[in-house]
Amino acid sequence: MAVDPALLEILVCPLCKTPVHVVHDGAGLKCDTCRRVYPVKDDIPVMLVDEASVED
Amino acid sequence: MSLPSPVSRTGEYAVRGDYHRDLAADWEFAPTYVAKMAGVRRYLSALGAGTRVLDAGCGEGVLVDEFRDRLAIEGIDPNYEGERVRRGSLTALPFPDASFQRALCLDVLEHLSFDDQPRALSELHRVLTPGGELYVTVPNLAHLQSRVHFLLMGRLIRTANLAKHPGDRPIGEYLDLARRAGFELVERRGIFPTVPIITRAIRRHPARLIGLHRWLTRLLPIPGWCFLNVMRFRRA
Repeated sequence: MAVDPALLEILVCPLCKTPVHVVHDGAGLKCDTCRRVYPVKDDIPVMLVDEASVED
Repeated sequence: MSLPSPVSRTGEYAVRGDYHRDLAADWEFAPTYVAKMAGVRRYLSALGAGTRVLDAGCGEGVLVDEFRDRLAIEGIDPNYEGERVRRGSLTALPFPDASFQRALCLDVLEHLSFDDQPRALSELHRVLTPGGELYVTVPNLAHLQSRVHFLLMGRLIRTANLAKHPGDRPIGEYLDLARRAGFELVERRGIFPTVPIITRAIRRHPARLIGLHRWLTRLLPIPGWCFLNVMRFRRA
């Protein structure tokens, strides 16, 4: 099961507050403003700036 | 149905496990924790069904588990990750503005550095709706026993060591911080006025003297003298 859709609806990037969307088949949540991808580990999004990777 | 997600813990949770969920009666802070949680449960039970609540620094997510059927409650913690707890920082909350009607911040602010405390409060202000409420509990560096110790020995008794509570402050300073972040105090009460000698006995025998702890709070409900303060703020 992927991230809870109700949660996904309200999650934003902790840095720029832009809504995030699912990437890499549910393995990450991406912010289109700063291009950070927050990892999803065992269906749990890790919304920490330090844990995110910046992708193009 | 998904399988329960594995749990990942850091900080104190890595050392002590789910110590809020599996409460030890002989934990020296257990009587204060029990009294605090009774108040929080009363507060949450009185909210309308479906109220949007954020438990910021929720630890294991005890309240999230308990109230998720009735409230739209979200839990976030920098040191915990579980089925219903996301890992996130209070100084950069992953939620849009005005997402919650109520926010809880229970024994969290003292764990943040002096620099991070105003950041966390302004983030809580941001994610609350105008007129929303913030429910804070925080230990008071200048509780009665600590004040007496200061008079006699020249220093206050820290509520925990510096590594655990880097942001330890007398309660009046927390009130100032909240006011500066745009919160208005609605209600404040204290738990456990730390009368010297009796306090030492209660800390030594928490399970046996929990009744005395309750009686002290009823007898001397002076928040500034209490170890723990419970405060309800309105977001202006």
